[in-house]
Amino acid sequence: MAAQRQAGSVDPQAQRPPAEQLYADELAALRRADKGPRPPGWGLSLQAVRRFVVGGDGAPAKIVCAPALIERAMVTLATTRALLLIGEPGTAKSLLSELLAAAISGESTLVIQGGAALTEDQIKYGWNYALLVSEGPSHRALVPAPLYRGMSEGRLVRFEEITRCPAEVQDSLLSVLSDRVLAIPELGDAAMVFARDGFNLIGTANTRDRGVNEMSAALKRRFNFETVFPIRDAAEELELVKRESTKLLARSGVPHPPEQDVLEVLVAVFRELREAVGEDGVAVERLTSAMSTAEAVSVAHSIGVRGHFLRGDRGRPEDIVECLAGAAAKDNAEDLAKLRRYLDQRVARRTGEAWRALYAARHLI
Amino acid sequence: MADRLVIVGVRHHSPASARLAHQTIVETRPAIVLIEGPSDFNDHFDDLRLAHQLPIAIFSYCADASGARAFYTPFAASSPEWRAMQASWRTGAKPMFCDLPAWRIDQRGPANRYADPHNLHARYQTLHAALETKFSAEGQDALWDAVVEQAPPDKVAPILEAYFDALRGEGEHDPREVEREQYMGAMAAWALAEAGDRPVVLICGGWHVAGIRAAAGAADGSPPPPPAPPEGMRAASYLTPYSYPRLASFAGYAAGMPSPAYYERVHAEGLDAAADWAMGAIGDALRARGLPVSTADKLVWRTTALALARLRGHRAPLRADVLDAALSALVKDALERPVAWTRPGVLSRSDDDIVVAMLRALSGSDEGRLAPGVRQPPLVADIQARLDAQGIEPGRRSTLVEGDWRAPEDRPRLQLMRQLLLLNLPGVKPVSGPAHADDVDLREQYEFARHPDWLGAVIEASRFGGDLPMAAAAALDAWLTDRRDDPAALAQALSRGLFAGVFMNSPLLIDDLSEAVAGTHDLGALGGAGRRLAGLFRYGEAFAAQMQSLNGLCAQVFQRLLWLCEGAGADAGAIAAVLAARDLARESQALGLDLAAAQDVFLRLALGDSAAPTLAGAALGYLAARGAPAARSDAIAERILRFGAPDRLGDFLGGLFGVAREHMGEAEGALRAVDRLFGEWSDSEFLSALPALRGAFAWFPPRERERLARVVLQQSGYAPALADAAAIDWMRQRAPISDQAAAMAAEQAALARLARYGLDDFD
Repeated sequence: MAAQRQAGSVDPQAQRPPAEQLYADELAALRRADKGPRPPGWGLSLQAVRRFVVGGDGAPAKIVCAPALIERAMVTLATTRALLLIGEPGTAKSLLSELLAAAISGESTLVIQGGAALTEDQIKYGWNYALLVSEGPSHRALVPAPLYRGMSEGRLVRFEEITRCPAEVQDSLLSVLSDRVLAIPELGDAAMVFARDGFNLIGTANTRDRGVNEMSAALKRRFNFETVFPIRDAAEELELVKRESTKLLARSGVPHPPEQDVLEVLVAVFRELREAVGEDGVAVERLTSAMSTAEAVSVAHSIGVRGHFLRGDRGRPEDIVECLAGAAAKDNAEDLAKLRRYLDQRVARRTGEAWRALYAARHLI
Repeated sequence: MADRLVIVGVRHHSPASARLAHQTIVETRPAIVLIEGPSDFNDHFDDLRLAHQLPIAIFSYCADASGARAFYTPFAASSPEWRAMQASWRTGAKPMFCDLPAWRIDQRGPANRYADPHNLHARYQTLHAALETKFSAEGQDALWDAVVEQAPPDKVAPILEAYFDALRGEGEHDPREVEREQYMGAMAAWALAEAGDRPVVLICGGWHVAGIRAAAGAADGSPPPPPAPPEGMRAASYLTPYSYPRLASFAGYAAGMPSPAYYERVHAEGLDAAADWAMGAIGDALRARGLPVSTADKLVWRTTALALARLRGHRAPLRADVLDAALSALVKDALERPVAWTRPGVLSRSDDDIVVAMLRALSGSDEGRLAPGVRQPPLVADIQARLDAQGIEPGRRSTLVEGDWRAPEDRPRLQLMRQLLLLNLPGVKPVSGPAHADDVDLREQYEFARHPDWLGAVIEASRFGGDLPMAAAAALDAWLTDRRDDPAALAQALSRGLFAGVFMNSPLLIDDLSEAVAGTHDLGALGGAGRRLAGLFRYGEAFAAQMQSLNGLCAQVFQRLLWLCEGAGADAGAIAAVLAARDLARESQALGLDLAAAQDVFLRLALGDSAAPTLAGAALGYLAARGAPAARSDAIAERILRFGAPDRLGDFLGGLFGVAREHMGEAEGALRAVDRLFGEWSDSEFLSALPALRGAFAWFPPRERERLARVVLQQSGYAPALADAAAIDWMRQRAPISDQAAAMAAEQAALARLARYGLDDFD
C-alpha cells in the first residue's frame, strides 16, 4: 500500500514523479466512480483503466495509441499470460506499461531494468549478507526484489528491455509465469511465494535489439505480444511534438516553441524517413536509427534552444539540418549518406518556405 | 403515393442488411421490387433465377474507340440485392434493376457498381471518428459490426436509417451520382404508377436513399427512357462466375464488407457460429503455414475473444474481437505495420504475412459457378471474331501461325497471338519469337490447336475483361502484380505488353508499372528495363503508336535511376543503370527530363570519393557521353589516377568504357594514364588487377582493340609499321576455326541439356 500512502503528495523537487503520484487525484476519482466488474486483484475495472489511459468522458488521454491495443493488453493482463510490449525505440512502450501498472495495481514502481548485467537476485530476491551470516537464511535476512513483491502483494511487475538480458536470466521467469509460484530453496522445502491475484508481468522489448538475446520459444509462449507503433496520424504526432517540446523548452528557460511550419517540416521529415515513403509515395531509404517521435521531440527541443540562446529567435529550418545529423545519423556514415541524398533529391522538390530553407541549408550536414 | 414506396438503404453484402431487405419484402408484399443494378440487364433477369453457385456477378462492359472498361455487380448469398430477388420470387413480386447501365455511370469511376460515392470520404471520416470513439471500435468494419451486425433484428432498420441520414447530411448530393439517383427515382415513380395501390420496395446503397426519395417525388411517373449506348460503343451485361477473393479485393464502405466467407457464415448461422468458424479457419490457415497453434493457444485465444467482446459491449465475439484476440494470443513477434483490419483499404504487400494469412482465411476461396444454359460472356465471341478476321482457324491438330514484326501486315495477327498468350489460353504454344522489342530477329511462330479446355478457359479469362485487348492488359497487370518482388518482371512486362499492344488504353497497367518502378530497389533490373524503354525510341518503330503512353513511365524510370544510383553502395547493376540513364537522356526532349539535375547527380558520383569504382566510372562515362566539360580527356586521366589502386582500376575503367566507350576517341589519354599506373605496380598487384582490367577492355570490339594495341605498342617504342603488324598479330585467332566451331557446338549442347532440367533461366 506504499503507493496509496504517497498518493496526493507529489514531491515538488522530483524530476519525474511516477504516474500514480502524478495522476493521484484522477485515479482516486475513477476508483470512486467505478461501477464496472474488476478482475481479482485489480484496483479498477477494465473500462476505467481504458478511460484513464486513452481518455474519454472528460478525462485527458495520457498517451497516443489505439484503444484496441489497450483493450487487448488489459485482457492479456487479466488472464494467465504476461504482456510483452514490443516496438521501435521511442514509441512510449515504457510509458504505456507505467500507466497500466499505475491504473491496475496503483503502483508502477516495481520495475526490473533489463540489461546485460542483470542477475537473478535483482529479479527475485537477494540477501542481507550481514543477517545471513549471523542468522542463516531467514525471512528477516531476505531482501525482496520486484518479482517477489509483485507476487506476494498481487501487483503488476514491469520488466523493461527484457531482451537485453542474458537468455538464462530471461528463462528464470519460466516457472514463475506458468506455475505462478516462486520457490526459495534457502528457506527450506516449504518456503514458497504463491502469486496473489493481481500479479502479472509487463515486459517491454525493443525491435532494434532483436536478435541480441532472442527470447526462447518457451518464454515467448508465456507472453502475449503487442506491437506498439509510431503515431499513425501526422497531425496527432505534430501536436504531441509541439506539446512535449514546449514543456521541455520551458524547463530549459526558452519561452516559445519553434514556429509551426518549422515543426511541420521536422515532423514530416521524421515520418518520411521512418516510414521510408516520401509524400509522393515513392520509396525513400530507411535509416538504421529509429526516427521516433521521442527523437523528434528532442530535436525540436534543441532547435528551440539553439534559436533562443544563439540568435534570439525561435529556431529556423536550417537548425533542423544541424540537429538531424546528430539525431538521425548518430555516428553511422551510411545513414549520413542516406540523409544527404534525401535532402539533395527529395527535399529539392518540395515547395513552401520552410522546405526551401531546409533545402538551402542541406550543405550544413 | 410516397408511403407506398419503401426504400431500404443497405450496405452491400452485409448480412444484417440482407435480412432487413428480405424481411421488408415478405412483410410489405410489394408488386414490384426495384434493386440497384444495371437496368439493361432487366431483359435477361431470368438468367439470375437459374441454379447458380454463388458468388456470381453481372459482368458489364463497354468498349469504344477510346478504350474498353469492365464493371461488375457482384452477388454473394449474404447480399441484400440477392436476398431481395429471392424474396420477390417467393412472394410473387416482380424484381427489376433500376440503376443506369454500367456504361452510363462515370466512365472514369471505379469498376464496381457498389463502390463509394465520391464525396463520401470526408464526411464519413468525421462521422466515423466520433462513432469509433463512442463504440470503442477501431476501424470502419469493426464499427459497422458493433453498430449494425450485432444489433437486434428489430433495431436494424432505425439504426440504418439514422446512420445513413448522418452520413449523407441535409440536402447533400454528389453531382456525379445525381444522374443515377434521378434515374432510380424516376424508375421508382414509374413503378408506383404501375403497381396500382400496392407498395413498391427499392433496395439501394444507403447513401442514395435521400437522393432517390427526392427524385421519386419530383418524377411524373412516366417510364424513364432506357438509355441507349452512343454511336460506336459496344456495351452489354452478362453473368460471370465470381469468387470470394475477388469480392474481398474491393475496399471501401459502400463496396461492401470484407471477409466474404466469414459474413456468409454470419448470414447463414449467426454471429456466434461465425466466430467459431473463424477461429477454426484461422487456426487451420496458420497451422498450414507451419505456425504452431497449440490447444493452449486456442484456449487463450477464445478466452481473449470473449473477454474483448464483453469489454466492448458486444453480444457475441465479432470479427474484430476474434482477430484482435488472435493477434494477442498467437502472434509471437513484432509486427511491421498496424494490422490491416483497423485501417481502410485492401491488403498490401507490406502487410505482415501472418496478418495476411488470417484475413485470407476469413475471405475464403470459394469460386462461384454458373448454371448450365446461361448466356456466355462476350469474350468468347470476341476472340472468335478476331480469329475469324485473321483467318486463323484452330483445329484439333495444331496449325502453324507465323509472321514477322517488321511487316506491318503481319502485326495484327501476331498481336492477337500475343494477347491470347497473355491470357494463358490452352492450345496456344509459342515456338519461336523475339523476347524483347529490340531483338535482332523479329520473326515469330506459334502452334495453335483447339484445346478441350479452350471454352472454359476463355470464360475464366473473361474475368479480365470483355474483349481481348482489355482482357490481355488486365491479365498482364495481374501477372505483374503477382511478381511484385521480382525486379526482372518490370522489363518483361514492358516487352510483353508492347508485343501484345495493350499499353495504349490501359492507364491502370501503366499506373501499376509506375508503382513497380517507384518501389524497386534493384539498380541493375531497373537499368535493364530502362534500356529496353530507351531502345524503343530507336528500334521500336513497330511500337511507335504505343510509345506516347509510355513517356511518363520513361521519365519516372529516369528519376528513379538517379535516385538509386546515388544510393548504390555497391557496383551491382551500375553499368546497366547508367547506360539506361544515358539512353533515356538522349530522348530528353520528348520525355521532358531534367538533365541539369541528372548532371549534378553524376558529377557528385564521378568527382566525389564515396561512390564505388564501377559506378564512379560509369558516372564519368555518362558525363563523357553527354559531352560535359567535367569529362574532357585530361579530367578523365585525372580520375583514372584517382582510382588507380590495383583493386579498383579495372572496375572503374569497366564502368567508364561500358557507358562511354564510343566517346573515348582513341582512348589515348586513358591508356597513357593506365600505362603510367602499371609501371608502379608489383607483379602480384598486376595479376590481381588483371581480370577486372580484361573485363573493362572487353567493352571494345576487336577492331578497336586492335587500334588500342597499336597505341600501346607505339608508346612502348615500336615503329608505326611494326606496331601495325604486331597489333594485327595480337588480335589474330590462334585456334583453328574447326576447333572453335566444335567448342561452340559443345556449349550449345551443354546449354540444351541445362534447359532440359529447367536450368536455362540465366536472365
